[in-house]
Amino acid sequence: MRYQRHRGGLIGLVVVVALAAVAILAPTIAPYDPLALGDVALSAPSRDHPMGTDHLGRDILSSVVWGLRVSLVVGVGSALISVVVGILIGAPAGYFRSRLDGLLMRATDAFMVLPTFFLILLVASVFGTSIGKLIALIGITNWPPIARLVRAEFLSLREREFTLAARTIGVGHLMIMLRHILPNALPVVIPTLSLRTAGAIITEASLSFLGVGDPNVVSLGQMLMYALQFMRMAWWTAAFPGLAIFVVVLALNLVGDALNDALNPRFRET
Amino acid sequence: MSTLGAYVVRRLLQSIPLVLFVMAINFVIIHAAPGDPITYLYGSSADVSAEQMQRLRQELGLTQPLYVQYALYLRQLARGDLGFSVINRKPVLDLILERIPATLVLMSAAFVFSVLVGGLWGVISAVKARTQIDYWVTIASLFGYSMPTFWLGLILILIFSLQLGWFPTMGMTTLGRERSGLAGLADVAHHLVLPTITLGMFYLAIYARLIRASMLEVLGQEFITTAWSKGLPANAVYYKHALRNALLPVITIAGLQIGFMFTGAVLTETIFAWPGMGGLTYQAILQRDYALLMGLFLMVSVCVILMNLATDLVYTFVDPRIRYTAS
Repeated sequence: MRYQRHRGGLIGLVVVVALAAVAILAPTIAPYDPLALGDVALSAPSRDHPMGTDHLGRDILSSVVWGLRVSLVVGVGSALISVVVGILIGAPAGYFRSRLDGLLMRATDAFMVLPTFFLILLVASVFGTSIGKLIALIGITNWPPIARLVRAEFLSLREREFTLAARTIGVGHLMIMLRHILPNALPVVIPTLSLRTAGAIITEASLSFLGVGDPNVVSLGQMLMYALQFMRMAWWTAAFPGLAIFVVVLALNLVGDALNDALNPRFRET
Repeated sequence: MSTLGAYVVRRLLQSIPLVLFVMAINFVIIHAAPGDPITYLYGSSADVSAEQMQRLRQELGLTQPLYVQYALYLRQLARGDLGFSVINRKPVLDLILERIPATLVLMSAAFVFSVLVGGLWGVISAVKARTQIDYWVTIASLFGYSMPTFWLGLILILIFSLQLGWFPTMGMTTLGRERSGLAGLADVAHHLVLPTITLGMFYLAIYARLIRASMLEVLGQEFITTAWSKGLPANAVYYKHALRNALLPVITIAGLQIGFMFTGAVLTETIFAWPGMGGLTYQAILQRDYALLMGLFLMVSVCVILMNLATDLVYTFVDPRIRYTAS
C-alpha cells in the first residue's frame, strides 16, 4: 500500500515537473500565438490543431500551454503568500501563547468562516483584476488553515528540550522562532504548499470562468467560460482546457499527499 | 434556563462580532472603491437623478465622519435595506430572497448525495482496507477531489445531455410545460440530477477520504476489539459500533463545507442556468451590479455563520460526551 501511495506521489511529481517545464517553455513550445486569430473557427482536432480551434479560430493547444503558465504562476504565487502569512500569524500565536494567541486565533477563526470566494469576487469586480491582484487576493484569503497548522507545531515544539536549551543560553525569541523552531515545523508546511497551489489554481480558474479573471492573459478558466457557449458545436473547446486544470491539480494533490506521508510519519495512517 | 439554551444564546451572541466584521468589510469596500459610494449601493450615477443623488447622500450621511457613516450603514442594514438594484429595479433583499429556495433545493440534494455516496465509499474503503477495492476507491476519491466543479459540469452536459440526451442542459423546470403535483416534482428531479452530481462530487470525495480515515482510527480502538471478541457479527461491529463513532469528526467538516458549498453553487448554477443565488451572483458580476454583489456576500456570510452554529448544536445531540457550560 505504501508503495502504491508513493508511486502516486512519484507520478504526480513527474507530471508536475513536466507541466512546469511546458509552462516555462510556453513561448517555444506553443505552435501558434495563442491570441492570433485563425482562419477556421471551431475546427475539430486535426494535425494542424491537435486540440482544435476556438470560436475565434485560435489554436486551443497553444492557449492551453499559455494558460497553464498563468495557472501555475497564480497558484504558486498565492500559495507562497498564504504560507508566509500563515507562518507570520501562526508562529507567534503558538510560541507566545497567552493573550496574543487568543487574539490571533479569534482573527483566524473569523477569516475561516468568511466566504472567501465571494469576497474575492466582490473585490475583483469592484477594483478590477490583474494577475498580480489575483495572486495577492487569493493569497491573503487562504492563510487561516495554514496558520492553525503552524500554531499547533509551534505549540508543541516550544516545549521541546532544544528550545529550552536555546533559551537557557540566552537566544532571543525571534532567533528561537526562526532558527530553531521554524525549520522543525517545515515538514508540516511543505505539503501544504503543494496542496494550496492546487487549491489556488482551481480558485483562479473559477474566477476566470465567471468572468472576473485578468482579461489580458490567456487563462484556462476563461477558455471554459467561452466553451459554455460553444460546446454544443465543439466539444473540444470544453474538454481540453478543463483536462489541463484537472491534470495539474491532480498531480499537485498527489505530490502533497505523498509529501505528507513521507515528512509526517505521525500523520501516517495506521 | 437550561444549559443548552444558555449555550445557544452564548453562541448567537458570539456570532454578532463576526456579522459586524463582514458588514465592516462591505463598508470598507464601498468607501475604498473608486467613485461615489452611491454608485455602489444604488447603481451607476447615470441611473439616479442629481436630485435623488443629493437626497441619498443626505440620507446615507456621506458628509459625516466615517464612524457615523458606519453606524448609519448598520442601521440601514438592520432595517433590512441591503441597497437597491437599479438594473433589476428591485430592492437587493427581494432579489436574493426570491432566489434562496432554488439554491436550497440544489445544495440539499448535493449534500445528501455526497454524504450518502461518499460515506458508503469511505466505509467500504475502510472495511476493505489495503485491498484492490480500497485502492480504487482511494484513486476515485482523489480524482473527484481534484476535478474542477465547472469542468465536471461541462463534461456531464457533453455526455449525458448533448450526446445521450438523458437529462436537460439547463433550468429547474421544463419551460412552457410547467406541471403541478407529482409530475412537477419529477420534472424538477429530472433537472436536478446533473447539477447535484456536479456540485456534490468534490464533497463526496472529501467525505469518502474523511470517513475512511476516521473509520480506520476507530476500528483500531479497544472497544472494537471487545466487540469482535464478544463474537458480534461483522455488520454490527462496523455499523453499530464503528461507524457511529467515526461520523463525529465528519459532522464538523460537513458544517464548514456547507458554507463553502456556496462557491460550488455559483459555478454549478452558472453552468446549468439554475435559478438560485449562484445564478444571481453570476448575473450581478456580468451587469456590474455592485449593490447586489455586496448583498449576496453579506447574505452568504450570515448563512455560513448560522451553519457553523447549527453544526455545533447538532454535535450536542450526537455526542453525549460533550456537555456545554453556560459560562
